Amino acid sequence: MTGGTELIETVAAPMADAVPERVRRGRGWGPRIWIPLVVVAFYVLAAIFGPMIVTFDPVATDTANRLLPPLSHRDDGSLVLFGTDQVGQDLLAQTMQGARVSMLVGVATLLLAGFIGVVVGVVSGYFGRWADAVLMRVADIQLTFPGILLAILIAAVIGQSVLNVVLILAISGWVTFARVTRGQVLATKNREYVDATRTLGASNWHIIRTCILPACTAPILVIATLDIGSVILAEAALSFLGLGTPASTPSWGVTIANGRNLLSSAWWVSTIPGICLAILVVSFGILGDALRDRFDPKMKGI
Amino acid sequence: MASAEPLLSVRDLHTTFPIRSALLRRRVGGIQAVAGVSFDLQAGQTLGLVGESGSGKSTVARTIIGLEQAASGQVLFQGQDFAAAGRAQTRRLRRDVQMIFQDPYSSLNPRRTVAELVSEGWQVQPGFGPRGTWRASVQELLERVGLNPDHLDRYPHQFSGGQRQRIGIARALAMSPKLIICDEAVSALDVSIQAQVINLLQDLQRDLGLTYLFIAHDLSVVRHISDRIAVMYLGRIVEEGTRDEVFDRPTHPYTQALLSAIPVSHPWRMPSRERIVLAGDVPSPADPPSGCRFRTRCPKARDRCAVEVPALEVRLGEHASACHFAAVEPAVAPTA
Repeated sequence: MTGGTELIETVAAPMADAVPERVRRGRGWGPRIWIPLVVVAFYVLAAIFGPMIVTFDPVATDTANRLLPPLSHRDDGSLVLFGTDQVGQDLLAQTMQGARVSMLVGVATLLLAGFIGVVVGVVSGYFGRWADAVLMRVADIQLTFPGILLAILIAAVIGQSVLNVVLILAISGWVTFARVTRGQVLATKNREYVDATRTLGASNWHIIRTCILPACTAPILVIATLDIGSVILAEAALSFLGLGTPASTPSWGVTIANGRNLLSSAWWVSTIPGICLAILVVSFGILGDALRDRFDPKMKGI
Repeated sequence: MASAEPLLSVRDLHTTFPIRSALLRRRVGGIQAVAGVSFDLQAGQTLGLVGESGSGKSTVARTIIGLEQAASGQVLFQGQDFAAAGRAQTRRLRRDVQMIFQDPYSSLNPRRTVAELVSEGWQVQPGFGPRGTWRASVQELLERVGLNPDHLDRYPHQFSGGQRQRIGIARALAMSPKLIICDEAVSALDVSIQAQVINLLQDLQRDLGLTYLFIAHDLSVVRHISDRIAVMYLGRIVEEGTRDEVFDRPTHPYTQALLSAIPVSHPWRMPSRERIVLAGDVPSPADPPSGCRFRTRCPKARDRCAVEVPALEVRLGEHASACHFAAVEPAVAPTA
């Protein structure tokens, strides 16, 4: 009867995606995942502990030591690793403070956008009909606007604050989550085990909670990792344009903007936070790509 | 037949799947998956529902259990109409009717443990005792279906196909149902495992007084387990009767063709046995033939078949057949 067993094996093979993550997680943590992970972890540590070590005071000035290049010394002999800006503030402290703001904004935005997107995606994918039609047309319309243009428009209307930046970026970022969630919900809701749960008399909420959402976590995490880079970049762009975080909580975008008139005389004021930003965004990009290949090879083209 | 009220009574059931146009999603037609099916199922008995792929037998099951909406007709469970019952009542009725699915690989949520899967019914329905006692109850159920009771924290993929189907049976039993619909419950399994699972189902029926609606395309399996048999073709029942009547004295040409296709272990012992090979394919259920739905492939078809729909009624012997020219063909059925 080996013939029958083999048949069952081949039938079961395409179902590999149904195996829980915690079981598959054992294999394939290649350098494409851990190198960017180490970089990101370093940024997180710097963002959390950096401002505790090198305090940053947004109103303090030290004009005697203004525009010192990187690796030079102040009058009192202390080393300024990243140099100082036009009012003599330490760029290292400013950059680490900026990392804190940028990453906070990035994570908060993703949580908000992810929440909105998952709710919209589940509602339109699971319940379908007119809810699906309306929500997905709204998403389509939103996608026809360039994201940054929409963000600038909203920012100009509701004004500057960290919270507003999060709101603005979440409004322009939920669509990706909604679409990915909807796709995953559509793929999951016709699975036989969903029917099997329904025949027990389960409510829709129970089915969504136990069958639908667990199937969505992996793709949503992948999208979040891919997205956080562009969210941080968008926040920097908004701040650079003067529509992002206020000067009292300088993100990288604010610092970069501060130095743009000095590019010919003091390149480091803009360049160093710019490099920090670039490395973080690229790391998140590589990490997201690697995670996507790892968890969901079918999504490779997206 | 003067007997007690049937446990399940299906009355002129129709289930139609709409065909929608591509652009405006307007309804442009319908696939009549089930077109006027009626049968009774007595408590404690097993009705075998057979037919080839696309005959609508699974749709009958899915409509009875509420996964599909009936277009018309009634499903009466203990005399109560499922469709007419309110939401809360429907949920309670669902406890009494459970289903075992065809594919044990896709019918169990891969992300939940056996304990969670078996007790899932208790999570969604009230009145199953305190949570603290569930693990012990799950272990009892696992033992009842022949699984190791210590495996309750494992995931479905850690089990073989037959074991998974036992988990599915335990899940259904957890609700203490009266009727279990087995939708091709053993078709995906190895033949040796099939026998084990069928024996388990029979043991459970004997011990718990269960009623089965057993859907399959494997006639030998159906013959083994059923008390009565209904044969479906293109959304209708063409012949219905006790197991021995249908197998030994089939009167519908479709049943005869099906039975003649069963392989026999000693063909030389029945030299008169003929294989009836049907020509052509099953017509599209979106555009079924007029009159008798089987007429396009029937060796006996005549003009009357295109005009008049043959009713399912007792025509010859003791069981119902939906053929105008019902006749016993002695040479087709294999004797067990």
